[in-house]
Amino acid sequence: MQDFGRNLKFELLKLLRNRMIIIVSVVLLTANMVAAYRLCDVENDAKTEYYAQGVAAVIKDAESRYGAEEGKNGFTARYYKMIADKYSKLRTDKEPEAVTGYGQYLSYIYVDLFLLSCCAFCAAFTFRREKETGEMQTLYAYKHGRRGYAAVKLTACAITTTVLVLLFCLSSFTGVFVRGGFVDFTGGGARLQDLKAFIYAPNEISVLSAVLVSVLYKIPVCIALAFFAGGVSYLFNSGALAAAVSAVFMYGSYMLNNRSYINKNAFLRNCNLFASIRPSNIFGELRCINVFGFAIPAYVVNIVLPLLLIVFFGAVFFELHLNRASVTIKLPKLKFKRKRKIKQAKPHGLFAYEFRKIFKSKLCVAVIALTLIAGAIVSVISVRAFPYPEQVYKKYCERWQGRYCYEIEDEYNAEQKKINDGFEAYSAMRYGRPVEGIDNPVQAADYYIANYEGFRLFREKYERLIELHEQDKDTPILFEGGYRRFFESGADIFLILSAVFLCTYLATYDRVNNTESVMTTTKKGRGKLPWIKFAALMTVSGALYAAFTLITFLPILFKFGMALPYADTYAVPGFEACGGMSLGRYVALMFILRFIGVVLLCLFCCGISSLIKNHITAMAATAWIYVIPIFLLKNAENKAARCVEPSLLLDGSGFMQLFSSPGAVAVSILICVVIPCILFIPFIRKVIKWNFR
Amino acid sequence: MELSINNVSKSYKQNKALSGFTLSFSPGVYALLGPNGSGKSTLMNIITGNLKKDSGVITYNGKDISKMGMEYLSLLGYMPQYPGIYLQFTAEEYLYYIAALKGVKDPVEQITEVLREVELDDVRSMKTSTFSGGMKQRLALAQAVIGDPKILLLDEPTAGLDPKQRIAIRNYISRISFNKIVIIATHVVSDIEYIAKTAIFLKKGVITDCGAPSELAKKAAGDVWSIRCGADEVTAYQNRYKVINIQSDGADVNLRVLSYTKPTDNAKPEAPTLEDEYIRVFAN
Ligand SMILES: Nc1ncnc2c1ncn2[C@@H]1O[C@H](COP(=O)(O)OP(=O)(O)O)[C@@H](O)[C@H]1O
Ligand SMILES: [Mg+2]
Repeated sequence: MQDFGRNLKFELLKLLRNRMIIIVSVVLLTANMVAAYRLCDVENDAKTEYYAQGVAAVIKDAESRYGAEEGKNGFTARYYKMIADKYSKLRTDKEPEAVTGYGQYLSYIYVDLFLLSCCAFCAAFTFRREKETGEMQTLYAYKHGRRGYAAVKLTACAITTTVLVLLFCLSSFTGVFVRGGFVDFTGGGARLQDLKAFIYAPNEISVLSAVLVSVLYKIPVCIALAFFAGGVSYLFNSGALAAAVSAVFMYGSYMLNNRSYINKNAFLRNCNLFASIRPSNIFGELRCINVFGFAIPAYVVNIVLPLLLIVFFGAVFFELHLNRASVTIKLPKLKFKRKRKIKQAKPHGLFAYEFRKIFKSKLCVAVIALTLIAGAIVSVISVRAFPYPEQVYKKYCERWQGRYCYEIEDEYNAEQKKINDGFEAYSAMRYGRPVEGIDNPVQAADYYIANYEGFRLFREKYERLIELHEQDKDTPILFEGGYRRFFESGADIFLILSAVFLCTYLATYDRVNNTESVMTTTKKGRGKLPWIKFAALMTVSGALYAAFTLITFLPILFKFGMALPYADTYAVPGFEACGGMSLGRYVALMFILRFIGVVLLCLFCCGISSLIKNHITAMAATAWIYVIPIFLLKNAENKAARCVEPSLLLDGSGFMQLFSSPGAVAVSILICVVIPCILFIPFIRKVIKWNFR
Repeated sequence: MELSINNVSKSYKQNKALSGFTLSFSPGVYALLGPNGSGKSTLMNIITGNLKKDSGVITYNGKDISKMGMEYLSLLGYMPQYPGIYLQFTAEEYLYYIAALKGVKDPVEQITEVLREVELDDVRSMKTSTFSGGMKQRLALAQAVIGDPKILLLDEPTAGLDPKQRIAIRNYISRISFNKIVIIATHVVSDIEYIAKTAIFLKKGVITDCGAPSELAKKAAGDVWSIRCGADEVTAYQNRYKVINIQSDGADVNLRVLSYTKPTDNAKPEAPTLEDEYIRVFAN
């Protein structure tokens, strides 16, 4: 027991003494605070109306369904009975008050992202350190070795995670607080239902308890995830592979909890394994899951599941430790692979060897393949939506395609009249009025129903074009759906991820493999090799860029078409800032800007990799710096705020939209161009630095 | 052909790893002897240019190596103390790669020969991830030798090799050392005792002794004794003298002892070896 305490202390000290851990934690905590500050919308905590009616409706619905199922005593009956009971206990005699701050704090979701990353990082460090420094075998040989050691590791990981949860909650709290969110710290005795986002919470507790409970709920789920990340990092031989598996798990659970991304299914959102990390899942509308016919509320499941997972992952970890000194997982060998004849190697050029370094690694090939597949899936899914009104709109656009607005005035008016008549017919039939002056009222009404929405879209465009015409900015009519989607497609996260992975992989390859000291004593290894490496990186990222561009561009092109490339960008709403340029040129410019973005990303990666020794750290640092601002700023109201995104050039149109404010352009150029170039200097210095002075 | 090192110093913060190292190397095998942490690797890294020296000058044939640039690098062959290799490459591919880096014109024959010399020719097409520690070590040596470098720097080349391989490697190094400056850093005296032209004793970054191994060994003459005693007396001798070797033959024990005066009446003087001198110098 004494040993346990002492070892635990050592384990925690190892973490605290590690500069990387401290830096990462502080950076993430700060980023979280800034994000909380920026995203918190204090004014939005307006008073909610119709609360009583809403709750009454929930109860009424539940009761009627319960009535239908009564006597069957199944899950459904129990479920609706429970809902009716829960909600009828709520006080609806008073309408909710406006409470600021706490609502914002509870609905701020990005803390999950920061928290999970930090936990995974610390857990991986805790579990992986000995493996990387090669102390594992020594530790195993100790008398009390394994069991005690495993227990210490798990405890240290749990303690760290708990502290991290508290710190991160505090940091988002501070962010909201600095924004002036909390008028009254006590919450004015408000109930959870007084918060706009939680009016349908089934349990009547005060906002303060809700905050407390939400923090407590986060702890077990984070520990479970940390155990998982730690176990995985222990299991795999390659650190990068472990990081990749953990990342999929972490961000997968993050996505699962996120309404806007993948998971539109409320039940999954509330009842998945990691739902309890997010307050809106625990306190949201009551959901239950079916356990042998009994209705168990989601908020109970949300605390039980993580606890089970902790036990499960902990047990797996123990099992691994007790039975094997060092477990390694190899990628499964495909059975149907032919026995390859051993080929005699031939001498190649240096450039070719850089490619071999990438393509001989299964990990790299897997990352390229997976990101391409993921990119293709996302791109196809995102073009799938082609709403009916837009299809009709497209029909109108194509009908008058390319003709200046005043030329079609007669035809347009005729169409307008047809729609109006249709509306007349429709409303007359609906309210039982007689139809006058229309030959075939049923057909006319159908025409109205089919085309009204699309025509409305077209009318907006038509009026806009007339406006532009009056300002002497003549623009032909075209269907701009394809262009708009292409311009709005933004920076491709999968491109960034795969490019970052490959760049940092190749740039740190010699150092990670401990061959750098030999390379630098050879003639070409000193002067030429870094440039050759850079050229190889550019080639690979260029190819990736081309592949990802095709993946995003082609589906849009095939589905929506991109007519009239000579027309002006005025024709595409939202992109007027670059008016005066033809659409074709704008598309070409987009390609070029995005390519420059890729080049700069390469520079950035090379720079970071020559500063940071280890591949995973270099990769994680770059990926964070590039990806997180995209998440945070994508939907920013003020477009100029996006100037701090390092990936803005990869977005292309995001960069072009900055042009209304020169200051933002300057900041953006500083961040996207100047900083990567400065970071590239240490990489160049490797070439010209001789050490021989 | 001469590599001169003049007054080279290097410290890591407070820790002086090398102070005022001065020596001139001409073709032949040099052995850099010293315990762990004596600055052998530091010196190697300074000669290769991987490490920046604090002060001093290194010249090759009278030319400052920092001014020679690529010309100097094309003379080098280096095997680091902890050599890394690309685990995804085969032995052969790795050597071809190094040959490309060194700018070797026609590597095929050379590599075939080197692989045979280090006894790796039957595994030449195997991935190095399947290699044992000794095989990796030999591959790293092969890598250094490629391109016929004029200055060959080997940092503990025999670490982790079995006796047979040790001898093979030793002989190989000796054979190729013709018309080359070969510097071997090691703390295993027997590896270099018979092949080195000059042995250099390095202690905390300072040369304490330098000369032909046989000459150095003579310095311990008169200080090496053999004593025959009972097993129970061994501890007493160990407390008083530096005991180099203990050999037990069941009943009694033969001790090989370092002592400036005759330790006991029955002690017999012994012919000194380089190892005796090494122990004498580094004992305290
Ligand atoms: N990277 C380093 N940072 C700080 N001190 C170092 C470093 N490398 C070596 N040293 C110190 O320099 C001294 C000489 O080390 P080294 O040249 O590796 O010795 P050797 O190779 O003879 O065992 C040692 O005291 C060691 O602690
Ligand atoms: Mg050394």
